[in-house]
Amino acid sequence: MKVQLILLSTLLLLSVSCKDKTNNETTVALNEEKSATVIDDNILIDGANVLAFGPDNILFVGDSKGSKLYAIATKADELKDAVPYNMEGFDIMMAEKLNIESRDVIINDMKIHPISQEAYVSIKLGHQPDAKSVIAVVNPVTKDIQLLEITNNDTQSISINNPASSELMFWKETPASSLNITDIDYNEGYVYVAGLTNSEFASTLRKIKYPFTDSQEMVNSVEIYHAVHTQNETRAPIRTMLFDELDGKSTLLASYTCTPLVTIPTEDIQKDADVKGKTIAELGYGNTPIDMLVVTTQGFDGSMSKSLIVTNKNRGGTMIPLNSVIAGAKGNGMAGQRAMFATGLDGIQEIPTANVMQVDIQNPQMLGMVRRNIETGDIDLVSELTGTFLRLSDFISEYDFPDYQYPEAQAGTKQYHDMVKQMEGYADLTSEKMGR
Amino acid sequence: MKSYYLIFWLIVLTACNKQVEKPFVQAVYPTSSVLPENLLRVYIQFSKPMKTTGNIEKIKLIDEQGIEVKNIFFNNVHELWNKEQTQLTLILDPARVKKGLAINEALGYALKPNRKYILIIEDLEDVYHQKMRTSYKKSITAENADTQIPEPENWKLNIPEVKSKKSFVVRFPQILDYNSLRQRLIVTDIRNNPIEGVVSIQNQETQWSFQPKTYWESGDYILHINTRLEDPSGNNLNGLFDHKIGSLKYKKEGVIEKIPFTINP
Repeated sequence: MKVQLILLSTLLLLSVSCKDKTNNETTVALNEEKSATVIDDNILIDGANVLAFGPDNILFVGDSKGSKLYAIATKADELKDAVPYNMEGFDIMMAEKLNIESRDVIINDMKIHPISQEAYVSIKLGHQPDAKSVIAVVNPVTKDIQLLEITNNDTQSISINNPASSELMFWKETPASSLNITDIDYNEGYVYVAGLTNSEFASTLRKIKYPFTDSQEMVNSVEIYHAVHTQNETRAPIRTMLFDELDGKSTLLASYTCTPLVTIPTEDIQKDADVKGKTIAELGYGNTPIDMLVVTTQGFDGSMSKSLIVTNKNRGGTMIPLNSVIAGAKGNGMAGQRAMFATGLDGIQEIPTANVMQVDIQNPQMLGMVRRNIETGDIDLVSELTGTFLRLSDFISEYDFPDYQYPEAQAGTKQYHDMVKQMEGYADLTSEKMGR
Repeated sequence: MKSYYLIFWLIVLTACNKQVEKPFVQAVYPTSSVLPENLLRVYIQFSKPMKTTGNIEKIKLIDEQGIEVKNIFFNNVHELWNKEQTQLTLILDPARVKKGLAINEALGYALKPNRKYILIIEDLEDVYHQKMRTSYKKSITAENADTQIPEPENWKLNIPEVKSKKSFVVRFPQILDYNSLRQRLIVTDIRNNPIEGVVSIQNQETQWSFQPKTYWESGDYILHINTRLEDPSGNNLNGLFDHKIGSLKYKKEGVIEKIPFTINP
């Protein structure tokens, strides 16, 4: 009898511990319950995949899961100073804030508010299909993290039509097809939504009037003119895009899933129009662009020039002088050639942005970025000087040895190092403080 | 005494096995092992919801020499999952598939005809951070490029008998895309009212069957085909994935073609 009792009680203990193990594996669900005490409904959004700022402090949020586009009014105090982000372990900070594990902090996108320089970061809370998202607002001056309130008063939304469902009344949207919003951009009264479905290579460029009305236009398909003898065109969707004035003409610069860089005059993008895009460059082999930006950089001679930068997932980015892009847009398009890497325009350069997950212009001097720290594995929210594409504090060089003295010829380097050290949060290591 | 121990351990094992079941691959589409060199899309069906980040890097294609074919998959920023997070879409680098591009000119298609490959799917995690139960391997032999659009005039229809619940079956001379087949064919009556029923896809995606919920009545029916219906190389009824400018059948994608059929009394 005693033996039975001992066995039974051990069994009870074991089964409890086994049950605990099961519960550990459902940490997200548990933490969601825990976090429900701090996360109010008014900060949750069904899905927040892609962000873009529009006019009057409006934040556009693309929700792939719910096939929706939100327009959320934001409040912003203007920040004129260039104050950098140096938030290493940003994912851990967010996990603490949200009361979840850092492995359940899924950063989908980041955009910088053009007025306040605050970073708006869309975050999915856990991996479950029904997990909701929040938008964190990070202030560069106070380093304070707020969660954006999504109130009915300040939020408008519109459903994004599925091309399948609109073609026949009974052609219901089926679970077989889900839309993945890849990019959104606002330009002159319209929000352009590019997407990719998991099933077919349908053209999914949509043009939605803002403020929202009942109508939205599906751009039928874009023929991409490719100046090779075959003049072939591919039914491929846009991956990332931006609008810019190229030589005084509003132009959509788009990177397609089949990698070419394409220009399309904005005025041509009309419903049912025969839209023709022109391939001006190819961005290389296995290339998967994340973000495109037009940045202004200062050359060694002090001159300012504009460049297009394209960052990629898991590999370095591409920088192209904007003048080359303009020349390409005016030309006949790229002629057939053989190449394994970026080609088609003059002055294409590779830039070291391999760990950059999201990037946006923070202020005239800096880019704000979310990047994977290859040493710690954490996700950092940091700033870099535009054009340098590196953080000095990522490297240890002879300049960092305590006895290093800058020779006179390196006065410029010394000045640059001192500025960047302060910017990256190492004011105590400047030459003055180190007695050099 | 011994029986106590046995029962004890049996119960312990049962209790511990109540842990969340580990995920596994249920199917990979196309199911055929012979696939065209211009293959564009592969679906991986998992047994349960999976994490939707960091997976493409874990999926490998190995050639006959055991060497990994690098950068073959289009690694989108956000991976392409269905809403339930149970099906991942792999796209083979479209730049390699599209003719005339610099990379296609330099390297050609990623798959080479008559060569053998193994697709290896392992260590992917479910939403509870549990890795796959076992790795999944799919053998692939590449054949010449698929440069034929799906043409309904080459399809064979098997029309069921009246007053039966037998399936209306459509057979294709080529493999069609699994997801596309699930959503691009529909049966209606002559007035375009959809007939309720269940669709199934068989014979390595060369057969589509529709079993009605109620008995077939005599009369005229229509098989509606959305011309977006694709094959695994991205060719649809409207034209090849990689086509000459201006060669599309219809200017607009998604035009509906119709095949009427009659169930005789």
